[in-house]
Amino acid sequence: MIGTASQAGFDPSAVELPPAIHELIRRVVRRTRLWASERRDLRAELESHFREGFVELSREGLSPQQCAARLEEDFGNPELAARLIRRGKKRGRSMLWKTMTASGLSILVLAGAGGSYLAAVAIGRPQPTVDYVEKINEPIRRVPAEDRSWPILRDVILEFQPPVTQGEEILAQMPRPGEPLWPEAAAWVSTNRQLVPRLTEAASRPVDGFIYDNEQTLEFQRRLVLHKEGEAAAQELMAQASANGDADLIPPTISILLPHLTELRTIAKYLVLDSRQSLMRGDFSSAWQSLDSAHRLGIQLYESWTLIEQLVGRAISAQAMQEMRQVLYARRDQLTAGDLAMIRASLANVPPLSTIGKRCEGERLFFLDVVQYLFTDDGNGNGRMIPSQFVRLRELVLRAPGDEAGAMSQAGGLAMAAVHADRRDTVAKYFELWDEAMEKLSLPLYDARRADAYSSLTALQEDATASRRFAVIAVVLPDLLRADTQQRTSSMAHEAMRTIAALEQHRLDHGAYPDRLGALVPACIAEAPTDAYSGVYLRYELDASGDFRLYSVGENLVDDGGSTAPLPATASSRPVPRDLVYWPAPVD
Amino acid sequence: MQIERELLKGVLPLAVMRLLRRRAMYGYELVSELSSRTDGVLILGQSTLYPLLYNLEAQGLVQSEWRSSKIARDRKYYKLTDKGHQRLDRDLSQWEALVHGMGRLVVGSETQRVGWWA
Repeated sequence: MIGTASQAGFDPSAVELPPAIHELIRRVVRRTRLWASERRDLRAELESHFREGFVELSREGLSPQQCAARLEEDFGNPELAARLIRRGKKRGRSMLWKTMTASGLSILVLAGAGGSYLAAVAIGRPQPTVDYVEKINEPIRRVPAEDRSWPILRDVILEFQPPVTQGEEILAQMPRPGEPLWPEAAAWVSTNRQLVPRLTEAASRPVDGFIYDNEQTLEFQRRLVLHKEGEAAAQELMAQASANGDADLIPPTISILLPHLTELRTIAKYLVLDSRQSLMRGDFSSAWQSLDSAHRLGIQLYESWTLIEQLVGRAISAQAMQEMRQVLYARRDQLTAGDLAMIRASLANVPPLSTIGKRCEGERLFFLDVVQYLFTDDGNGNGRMIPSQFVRLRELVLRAPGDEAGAMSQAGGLAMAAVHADRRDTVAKYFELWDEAMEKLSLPLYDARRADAYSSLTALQEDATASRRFAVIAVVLPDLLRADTQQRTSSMAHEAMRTIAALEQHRLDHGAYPDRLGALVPACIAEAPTDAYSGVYLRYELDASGDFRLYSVGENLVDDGGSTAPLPATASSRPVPRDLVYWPAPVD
Repeated sequence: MQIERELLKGVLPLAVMRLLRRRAMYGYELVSELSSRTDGVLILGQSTLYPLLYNLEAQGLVQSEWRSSKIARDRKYYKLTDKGHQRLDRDLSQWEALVHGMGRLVVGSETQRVGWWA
């Protein structure tokens, strides 16, 4: 049995340990990386231990050097000892310390992850690779120059003179002969009369052919401002354009410049006023020609790729058709066979409006462009949303106001980016919703299932999680339901015009209107017009005076006897007339 | 006889706690006692002993205190706590069952108890 120092009566604390042992203790203690108090305690314990051993070995007759060597050998691996001691000591620390350490580590990990995320999103920049504007331009560029109206319209717009006085009032009130503003309007019409043949030529071409090219458009805009407002205004315009430092962060499909829309609306109104002046002169042919030109220019614009152009185009076309009906109604007793032949020829040559399909294609390209500016690109079709770009998009599309709201939306953008779906999932979800909407929108207007075209989008918006996950879709998915309905009602209005012309032809040929629309077929019209809302013929009624009433049952699908009284507006829709009445022509 | 490290792993804490059941001991004393009372079978290096003691202390099975005396100052003594006593009783029961089972497996008959455990 090995006796201990105490048992032998030695005082080990009086023993001076060899330097090698001190060094061993120092290495072990230092490597434990414990708190200072713990290291002091450990050093004392180890020194005590080695003194005991030193005394013991000395008693066995070993020299101090031999004692030191033996003690070192018995101790084992200092590094391993230090590691194990550290582990044991740490286990013995207080629960409070362990909790704080764990919390601290968690906070560090979270802070690190959060910091990395913020750094990643802060430096995230879009890397657009596809020129979607050019993709939209491709089919337009394929149209021969002689089939495009825009080259003519561009030059006409740059020569077009605004009204000398009361321009805004004239355009707002659209005066008729005899009204107070008519002299000013007539003067304006005369000023630009030499441009009408070129407008007629432009309107006769199949397509508008406007190329989406901001560089060229800006130059057109500069010349336009120079023409209308002078050199200073043109310089200011160019200065504003060059000051836009964010240009490379904005999807080009969003920032397409369309300065010609306002001008074309003005020109369309001009043509309506020109037709009124022609009628005053008794020149029915010129009057109709001007309205026909306005109608066709509207249709050309309606066939363009952006929704705003389509909206303006429809407004122009609708205004021209309304004027046509009023002209026909007012002059129905003076129409000659030649007049009617001209009217029917012009109406027959109007191309049918494209259906929702083309609008879909344009909007899909628009969305893909938005995505490539809103998400990073990992090179494999995926990426994450860039919050600053999301905020920018919202401001652009939703016109989010003000600095305060902007600051809030910055924070909102960061939060949104944290929960938003990645690029691939976003595109997949968008096309899923899109395809479903297209399927429903392809149904006839009277099919109740059309109302469900956006039911999945609505469900997504009402789901708190999904709406955050796919927030960008809610921002950019357009209301094609309305656009598609407008297209169909425009086509229907055009068919109604052709029917009215056929009815007038019948009256000219037989001295009276027919008792039913079917009587027009086939002598006056190939087939009777269908009400897109009801799916059957437009409503046609003869009254006691021998005049007729032609109308559609409208959105409520109910025959209200040709009432134009508005249906009650709902939260989601504007007021609409009960029936769409084409004849007798409404007076504006 | 050199015992495999893995075999010793679970035994050493039990051995140390068993030594501390009767009285408090300091580190060097534990090494010496363990070696002498196991005929040199259980030899603890310091690099093993102190981490082991600190682990037992962290688990609340032993507690330490510095003591001084006339013949020797500044020794850190370890003693078994109440919790340590309970754990020791439980572990010894398991150990005896293990030894009994291994004895039957190895030599085919019940082995004698190792006297000093009891």
